[in-house]
Amino acid sequence: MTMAKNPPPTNQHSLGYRLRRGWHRHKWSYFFIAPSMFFFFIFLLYPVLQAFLLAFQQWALRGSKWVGLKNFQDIFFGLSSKLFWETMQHTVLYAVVVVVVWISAALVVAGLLQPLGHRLQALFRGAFYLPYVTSIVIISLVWIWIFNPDYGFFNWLLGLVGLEPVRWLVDPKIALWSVILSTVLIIPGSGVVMYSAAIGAIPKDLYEAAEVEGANALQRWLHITIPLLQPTTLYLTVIYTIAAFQVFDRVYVMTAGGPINATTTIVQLIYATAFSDFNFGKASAEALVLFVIIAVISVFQFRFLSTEVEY
Amino acid sequence: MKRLILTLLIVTMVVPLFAACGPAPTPTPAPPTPTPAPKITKIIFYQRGYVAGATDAGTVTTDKAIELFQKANPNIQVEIVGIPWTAEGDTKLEAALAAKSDINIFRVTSVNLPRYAKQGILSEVTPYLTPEDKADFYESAWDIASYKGKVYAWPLWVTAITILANTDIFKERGVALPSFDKPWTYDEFVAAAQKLTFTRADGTKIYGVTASAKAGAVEYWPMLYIDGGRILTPDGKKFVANQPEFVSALEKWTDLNLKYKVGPPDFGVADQTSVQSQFQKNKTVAMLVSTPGFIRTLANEKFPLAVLPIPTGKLGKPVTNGAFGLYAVVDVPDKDKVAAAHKLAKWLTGSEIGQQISGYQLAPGLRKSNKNLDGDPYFSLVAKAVQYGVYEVPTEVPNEIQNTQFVAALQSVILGQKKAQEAMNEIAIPYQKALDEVNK
Repeated sequence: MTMAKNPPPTNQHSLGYRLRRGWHRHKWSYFFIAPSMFFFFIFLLYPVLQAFLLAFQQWALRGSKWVGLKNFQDIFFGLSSKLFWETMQHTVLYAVVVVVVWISAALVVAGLLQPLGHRLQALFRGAFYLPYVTSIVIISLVWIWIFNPDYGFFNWLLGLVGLEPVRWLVDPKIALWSVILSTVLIIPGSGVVMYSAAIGAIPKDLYEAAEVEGANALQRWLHITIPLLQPTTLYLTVIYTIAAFQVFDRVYVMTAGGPINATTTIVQLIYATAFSDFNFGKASAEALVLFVIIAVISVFQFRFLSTEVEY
Repeated sequence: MKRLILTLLIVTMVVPLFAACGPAPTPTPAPPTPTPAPKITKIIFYQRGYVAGATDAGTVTTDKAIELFQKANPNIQVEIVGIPWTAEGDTKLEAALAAKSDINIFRVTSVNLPRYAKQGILSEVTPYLTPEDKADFYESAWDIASYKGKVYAWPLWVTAITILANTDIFKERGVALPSFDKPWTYDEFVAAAQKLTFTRADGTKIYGVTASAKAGAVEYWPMLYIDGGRILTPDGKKFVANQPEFVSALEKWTDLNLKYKVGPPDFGVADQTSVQSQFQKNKTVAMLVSTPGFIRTLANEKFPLAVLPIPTGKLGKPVTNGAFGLYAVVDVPDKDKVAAAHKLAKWLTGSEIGQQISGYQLAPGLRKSNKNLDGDPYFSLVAKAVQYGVYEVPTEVPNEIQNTQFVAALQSVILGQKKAQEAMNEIAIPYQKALDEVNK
């Protein structure tokens, strides 16, 4: 009698086996996410890869030429490198001021809302969130009117107290600060909402225990609330830093980067390089530089600002 | 029932046989062999400032021009795509050219002509010129429309910049208007501007003069030539805006803002829309240094308008500057489309079109036979200014140098951040470097 050969043992740790098992378990999941992945690839990943490749080319209407690192050399050491470095200064200044003010303002407002009842809290959160859903272009157009040197609201206020009108968006020394002012005067609704939720999640026992120990309101705020909000602060810092580095529409509408490039930020420079100078290779290189800068700053923030929080 | 059906079947089979025995039908004549339909060539026309359905002069006259062209050329169909005069329009145009999508004829600026010609985008015009065309255009028009000795665009007109004046404000302040025969000197111009700068009883501030100053639409250029200076040498090889003649004229323009204070608060940085609004709607500016395209809009609403010459400086005579309107044809594989596009360009730049379409001529034409503006009270004066034109040769210097950085250098002087000589010496370095690069 011939004994049937035993089938070879299945190696349950082989790659092929794991892939087949994974496919068998999750094939319907892949099916449902396929459309999203398709659009992600076509409209996000592919253009980003193309931009990456374009950064190393000299673009022309009828075909591009590979030039290696020449675009990067032009950015850092070329004829317009001075403008690039000035632009970086403007962008860093804008980001530092805006992020610090926004985080502080959102925290203070969330703290002020906390003692209120649920309905009032919801009302105020909605009110602070409203500018967030309004078009930046509309907001910027209103600010242009507010800053108008002849009939603007701010100069009218200055006139009431006998002060000379200010050329808010015309004077190169203060134009950037005017743009920053227009940004920070609108408290970020997203920060208020997130901080409100985070403050609400802090156990009341900690405050009661601190009160028993004799801590006043300020001490409870400084030694309990703020440390326990660190994860939220980290998240908002990263998000707002990225948004500040990417500022464009506000600058474009209010000043178009002028006067004398005094308000030109890095994205405004990328736009001008691409769509005014039609130097798409150099513009892609500038975008790549911005990507690296934001990535480094974000890693830095996570590395040095993150902390474990336990209640 | 069966019998009925059988009867009906037999009748159905037999009746046609009887019909066949009837009189022979009159033979119908064979239908004529259809002549092949004439081939319709469709071309796409990218027109600046055109907005389908709008009622502004540019859109209305463009529609009329295409209507007349298609009537005269029934085998050519023209589709108009409107693009604005702003950077967004440039982007749309560049995207169409880069994507090699359907675009056959477009308005090209003299600044971009060398770049497009160098990249092989444009179709050469010379093969489509008749001897009459060659004799009819002014010689200077060919200089602007050419790249390395070949003509790549059809010259349309030259937008000679002049000063537009609100005559009501002049009357109010008792300031006499100059004329092209007796223009103001710079000092007389300053005196007039100072008199025209005042505050009304209701607190409204009126300013003497302003001009668009945003990169890409700088309209105070002629003021920088009044002392005999220019930006480049006539051969386009050397940057000379740091020479005394140009520097002194720049200082004169700057003094209007910093020393005599006759300009509005946004003097030196305002864009075209803002200054036109100040002049036309708000009526808070007495004089506007402007291209002539705005004249038609003002005249249509019966604005109290006068056209004045640019004041004279050390040169001793009026000067002007401006842009050349040019139509370029895209070189595409379909030669029928190329020929049709050249035909349209010839029509759009001809003398006849201005006679057939009222309001078409927005600036003095570049054909000797074009007398369409002779009877116009405003444009006839603009045409007078053309003879004093000083025009820079188009070069391949990158836009970021000749436009962005150079205009920023001018702004730094006008806003008092730098002295004129210092700013021009600074910009001379990258500008000359770029010129040497393109001329080697």
